[in-house]
Amino acid sequence: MRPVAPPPTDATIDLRGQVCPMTYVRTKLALERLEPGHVLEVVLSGEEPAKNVPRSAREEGHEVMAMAEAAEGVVRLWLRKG
Amino acid sequence: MTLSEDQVVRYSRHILLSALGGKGQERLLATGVTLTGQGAAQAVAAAYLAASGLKVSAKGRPVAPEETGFLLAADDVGRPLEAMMRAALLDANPDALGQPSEVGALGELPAGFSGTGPWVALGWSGNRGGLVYRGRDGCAACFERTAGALSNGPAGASAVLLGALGALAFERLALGLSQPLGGLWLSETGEVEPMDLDRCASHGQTGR
Repeated sequence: MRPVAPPPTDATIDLRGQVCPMTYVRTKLALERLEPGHVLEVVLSGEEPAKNVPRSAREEGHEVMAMAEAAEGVVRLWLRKG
Repeated sequence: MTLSEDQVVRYSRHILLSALGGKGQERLLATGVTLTGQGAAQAVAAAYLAASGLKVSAKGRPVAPEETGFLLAADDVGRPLEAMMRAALLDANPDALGQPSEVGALGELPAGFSGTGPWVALGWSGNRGGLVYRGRDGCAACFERTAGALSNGPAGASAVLLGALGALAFERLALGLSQPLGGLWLSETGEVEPMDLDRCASHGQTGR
C-alpha cells in the first residue's frame, strides 16, 4: 500500500477492534450524518474490514478516495459521500 | 432521534439494507401499529413488527387461542390482550412499547381501520391468503371494498406466511417504499401474486 496524503476530512470514526458486519454498519451510520460530497475518514483493523468496508461503500454509491496503512494491521480509509 | 448503542446492535441487519439504513430504522421506531382484528396471521405480523421496533398496541378483548405461539403463550389465552401484549413486548423488544409519532392499523378481518399511518388488512378467500394495504395517500374506500372480500381464516403455516408478508407490507408503507394502495394473494404453496383492487366509484371499477 503506497503512502498517500490524507484528504481533508469532515468526520472520523475509529473502528479498530470492530469486526464485520458492524464495521460497515457504523460506517454507514456515520456517512448518513454527512452531507453529500463530505469526506469520512475510517480507521480499521484486520484484513476483512479492510476489504469489506470499501467494497460496501462503493456498492452504495460512495467514492473510495484513498486507503493507507497507518500501522501494522491498521488502515485509514477516506470515503466521499455519494 | 439518534439510535442508541443497543439499537445499533439490535437493528444492524436492517441498517445494512440499502433501502433502509439508520434513518429508515429511526422511522420504523417512530411508527406505531394498532392491532384491530383477531387471528393467527395478525399475531405473527405483530411479532415481526415488534421485532423491527415499531410500537405495537392492542386492546379491548381477551387473548384468543389461535394468537399464541410467537409473542403470546398458551397461558395467556383468556387474559386481557393489552396487558399480555405489553408484558410480551417488554420481554421481546422494549422498543415496541411507547408513544409513536404516527399510528396505523393492522387487522385480520373482520377489523376496523383508522389512523394516519399505514393500514394492512389480512384475510382469506377460500384456501388463499390475501392482504390489502393502504398508505397515507391511498383511497380508504377502495381499501375497504377490496378488503371486504376477505374473511377470517385458519391458523397454521399459511397464517405464518401471511402474517410475515403483512408485516413487510406495513413496514414498506411506513418507509415510503410502497405504492399507496395495493393487494397481494398468497397461495397455499407460498406463491405471491398481485390482487386486483375493487375500486370505489370515484376511482373506477375494475370489474374483477
